[in-house]
Amino acid sequence: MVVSIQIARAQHLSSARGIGVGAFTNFTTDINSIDWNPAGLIYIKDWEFNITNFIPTSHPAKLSLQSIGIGKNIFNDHSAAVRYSPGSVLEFIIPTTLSIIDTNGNSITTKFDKKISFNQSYSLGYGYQITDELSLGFSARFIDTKVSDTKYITDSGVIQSQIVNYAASLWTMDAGSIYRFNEFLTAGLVFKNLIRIREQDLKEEMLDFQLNPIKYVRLGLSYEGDDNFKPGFDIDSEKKIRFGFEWLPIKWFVIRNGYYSSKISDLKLEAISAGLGLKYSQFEIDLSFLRYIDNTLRSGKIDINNIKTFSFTDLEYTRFTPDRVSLSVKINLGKAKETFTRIEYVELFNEVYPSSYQIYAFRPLGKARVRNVATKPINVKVSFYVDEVMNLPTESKPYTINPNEVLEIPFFAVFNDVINSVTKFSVFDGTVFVKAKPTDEYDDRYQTRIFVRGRNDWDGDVMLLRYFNTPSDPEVLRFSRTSLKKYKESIDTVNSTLMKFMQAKIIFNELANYVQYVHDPKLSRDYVQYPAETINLRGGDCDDLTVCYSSLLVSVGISTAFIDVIPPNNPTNSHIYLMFDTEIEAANSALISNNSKRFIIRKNNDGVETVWIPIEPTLISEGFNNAWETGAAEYFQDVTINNGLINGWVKVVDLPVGF
Amino acid sequence: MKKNLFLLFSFLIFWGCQKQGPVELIDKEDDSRLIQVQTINNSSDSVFIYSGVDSTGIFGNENSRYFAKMVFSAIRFDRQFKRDSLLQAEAIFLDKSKPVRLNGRLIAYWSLDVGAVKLGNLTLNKLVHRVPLLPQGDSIIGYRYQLRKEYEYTSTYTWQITGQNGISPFDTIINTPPEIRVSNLYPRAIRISEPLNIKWRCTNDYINIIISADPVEGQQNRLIPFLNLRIRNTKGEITIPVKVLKMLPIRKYTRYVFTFSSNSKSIARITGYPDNVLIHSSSIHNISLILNP
Repeated sequence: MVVSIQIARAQHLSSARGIGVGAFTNFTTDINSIDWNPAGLIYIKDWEFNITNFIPTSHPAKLSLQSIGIGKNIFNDHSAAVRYSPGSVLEFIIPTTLSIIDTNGNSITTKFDKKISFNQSYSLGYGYQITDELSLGFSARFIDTKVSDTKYITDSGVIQSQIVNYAASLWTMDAGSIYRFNEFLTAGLVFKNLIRIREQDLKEEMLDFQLNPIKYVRLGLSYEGDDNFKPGFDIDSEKKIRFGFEWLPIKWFVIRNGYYSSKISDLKLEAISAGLGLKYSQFEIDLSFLRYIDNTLRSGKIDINNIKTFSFTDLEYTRFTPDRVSLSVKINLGKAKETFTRIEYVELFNEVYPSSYQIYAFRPLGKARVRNVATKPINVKVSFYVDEVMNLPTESKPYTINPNEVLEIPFFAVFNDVINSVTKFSVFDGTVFVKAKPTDEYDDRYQTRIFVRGRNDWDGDVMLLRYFNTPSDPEVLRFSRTSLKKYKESIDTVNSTLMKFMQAKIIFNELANYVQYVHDPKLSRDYVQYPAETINLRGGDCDDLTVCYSSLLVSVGISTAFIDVIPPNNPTNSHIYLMFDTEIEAANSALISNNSKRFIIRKNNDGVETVWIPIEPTLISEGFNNAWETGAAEYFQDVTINNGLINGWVKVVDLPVGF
Repeated sequence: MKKNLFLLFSFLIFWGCQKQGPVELIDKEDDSRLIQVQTINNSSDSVFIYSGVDSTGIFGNENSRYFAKMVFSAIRFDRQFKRDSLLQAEAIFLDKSKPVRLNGRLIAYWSLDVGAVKLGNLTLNKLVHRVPLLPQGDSIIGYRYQLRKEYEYTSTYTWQITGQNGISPFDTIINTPPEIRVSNLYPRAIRISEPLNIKWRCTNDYINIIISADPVEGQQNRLIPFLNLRIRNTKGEITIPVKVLKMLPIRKYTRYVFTFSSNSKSIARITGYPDNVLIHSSSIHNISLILNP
C-alpha cells in the first residue's frame, strides 16, 4: 500500500469563530492566530485564555477538546501565546485479522491493526506591531507521527506477535503579517510551513506515512465599510478560496457565515459554516457549525483506496473530517478590554509657574496626539493629573475622531495650593489619560514629566505677573493700613476727590522709607518677590517693587495696572512699571496737574474716564513726585510718541480692586 | 454570570477530554480473512520427516496423527530456466507398537511390509525405511513404498495392496482433487515489502500454499518447510500480506519454494492394520522464488 501524506494546512478548525467566518486570515485576533495568521496575536489585550471544544456529528459523536491556550500582551506591541491541541490530530487505523492454526490444529483469529496518528499537540506564536498599520507574527508547531504495527515472527514453529512502534517528529514554522491600508481595507499574508525542521524520521519501511508539510502562501482581504458588517476573502497557493462575514446586529451578538470552496479549477462548494458569538464582560463565547457538502468519506470508515492518491491538506480539515459543532470560550483577564484609542505623543507647552497656576485651568498646559484605533468613530476626552499638586484629574471636552485618524487634543490642569510650596525648580510625574466611549475606563495613558518652577519664578509674561499680586496678604494689609493710619489727619482733611491720589502718595512715600530698589538677583525677569517678601526683605527690583506697590494700593481699594515695555529694537531692555487710578474724573484732571503729559485718561471698570498716574517704582528712594514724573515721562515717550500700545510692544494689564 | 462562565470553562476542559475515533481504512483487497497460517512443525518429533514421506511438508501437523498413509501427488516444479513434472506416489504403514527412540526421545516408528502396493497398474518400489541415528549411522527400521513417473493427471486412481504380515489385501478408487496451475507467478526475485498477489486455476474449495526454504537448489528433499497457508479459494487468487511474508526467515534463506497444492483425502480401514489409513491426493505446483526484504 502506498500512502502519500502531505500537509498543506489550508484550513484550520481550532476556533469556532474562525470556522464560522471561513476567511479568517484578517479576522483573527486571539490565540488561535497561531494557525490562521500569527500577526493577529497582537490583538491579545492582556492575558487571554482560550479553549475550543467540538463535537463531530459522526464516528463517534464525543465532546472533545480541540485546544486550550494562553496568551499575553507585553508592552502593547508584543504578544506571545502557547497552545496545547489534543484535538489537532489525524488518526487512521487499518484493521486486519489473521487466522493462525495452533499446534493442536485449532484456528485462532488475531487482530493486527496498524495505527497511524499525526498529532499537532503543541504550538506557540509571537506577534509584533511594527507600526499602526503593519503587524508581523511568527508561529511554530510541533507535529509528531506515530505508527504502531503488529509484527509476526516464527520461533520453533510457533507464531508470535509483537507490537512495533515507529515515531517521527518535526517543527513547522509560519510567518504572517497584517497590513491596514486604511480604516476600510485590511490585508493579511501568511507563509505556511515556511521552515520545517525534522527532529526524527520514520524508518524506511514506514516512510510512506511520513508527513511532508507543503509550503504555501495565503492571502486574505477584509473590508469594514459598515460599522456592523465585515466581509472577508481568503485565497491560497493551493488554489482554495474561502469567503465569509461577521455581522453585529447588536453590540454583544455576532452572526457569522462562511463558504469553503474546493480548488479554483472546479470551484465546487466544499463546506459551509454558520456561527454565533456572544460577548459578556471579559468573556467571549463562539459557536459554529461546519457542514460539508460531500460526506462520502466522512463516516469514519473509508476504503483504503481513497487514500492512496490523496495528499492531506490539513490535520483537522481533511476529506475525512466529519461535520462538527465547535464551541470556543475566551476569557480576557488583566486590563483586557476593547481599545479604541492610542496616545501617540504628548507635548507640554510650558513649564508650570506656581504663581500663575490658576491659568492652567483655562489655558492648555499641553496637548495629546490621540489616534482612533477602533473601526468606528469614537468620542474622546483627554484627562490630565499630577499627584500631590492636583486634587482631581482634569477632563477635556469630548472630541470625535474617525477610524485611524489622529487628533491633537489640548488638556488643562487645576492645581491645588500645594503647588505654591514648590520653592525651586522641580519635576513632577504627570499622567495623560484618554477616554473613549463607550468604555468607562481610560483607553490609554501616557506618562509624562511636567516641570514646575519655583514659586517666585516668572516667565516674563506681564499677564502672569498679576498673579504675584497679593493684596489680601496680611503683611500687605498691615503695611498699607499702618501707613494710612499714620497720616490719618492729613487724609481726613484732604478734598475727597483727591483721596485716592493722597493715599497712593502716602503709601509710596512710606514704602520709600522702608524699601529700596535693588537689581534682580537672577539678572533676569524670571524671579519675582511676592509683596510680603519685598517688604520683609526691604528691597526689590522693578518688578518686585511694581508688584509690591500695586498690591499695597489694591489692598486699600485703588485700582492699578502694570505697564510692560518691551522695546522692539532692544527686547532685552524690557521694563515694567505701573499706574493707578485716582478716580478723579477726566474733567477734573486739573486737580492733579495742568500738564496732560503727567497723567493718563483711561476708562475705569465702570466705564468712566478717570485720571491715572504712572509711577516708576525703581525711583522709590526719590519720592513719589519724582517717580510720578519719571513714570509719566516714560509713558509719554513709549506710548504717545513711539506708539508702543498701538504697535503692541507696550502692554497695560489691569489689576482690578478685589483681585 | 461570570461564575457560570467559569464553570462552563472548567466543564469544557474536564469533560472535553474524550478522544475521537480514528478513521478506519478498510482494505477490501486485503485477503487476510481468507488465509489460515500454520507453521510447519519441523522438529524431530515429526515422525514423518524421517519416514521419507511428505518431504515437502505438505501434510503439516493436521495429518501427523495418521500412522499409515498412501499419498499421491502430481507435481509441477518451476525453477528459473527449468520445469519438472512428475507424478509421485508414496505409502508407509508404521508400526505404532515399535517406536524408535534416541536418547530417550521418540524419533520414528518401525514400518511394516504390507506386500505390493500399486497405483493403478503401476507397482510402487519397496524401499527400506531408514532413520538417521547419527553418529552411529543410518538404521533400517522397515519398508516404505515409492513411485515416480512422468506427469499425468486423471480424475480417478486406484490404490491396491496385496497384503502381508497379517495385513489383508485392500483396494480403493480415489477421486483426485481439481488440478492446480498458478498463472501469474514465475520463478524470479520478489520483494516481501509488498503484498504478493497470486492467481491460479483450480476449483477446489481450499488451496494450500507451503512455503519452504530451498537451501540447496534442485534438491527437493532438502527443502525446509516453514509455513502452510490454507487459503479459502473464493476467487482464484490471493494476496499474501507482507505481514505473513515477513514471518519467513529471509535473513537466513533467500531461496524459497512456494508449493501450491490442491488436496483431497479420505480415511480407510484395512483389515489387519490397527489404525486409520490416510489416503491423500494432491495436485502440486511448485515455484521457486528469491525473496528479498
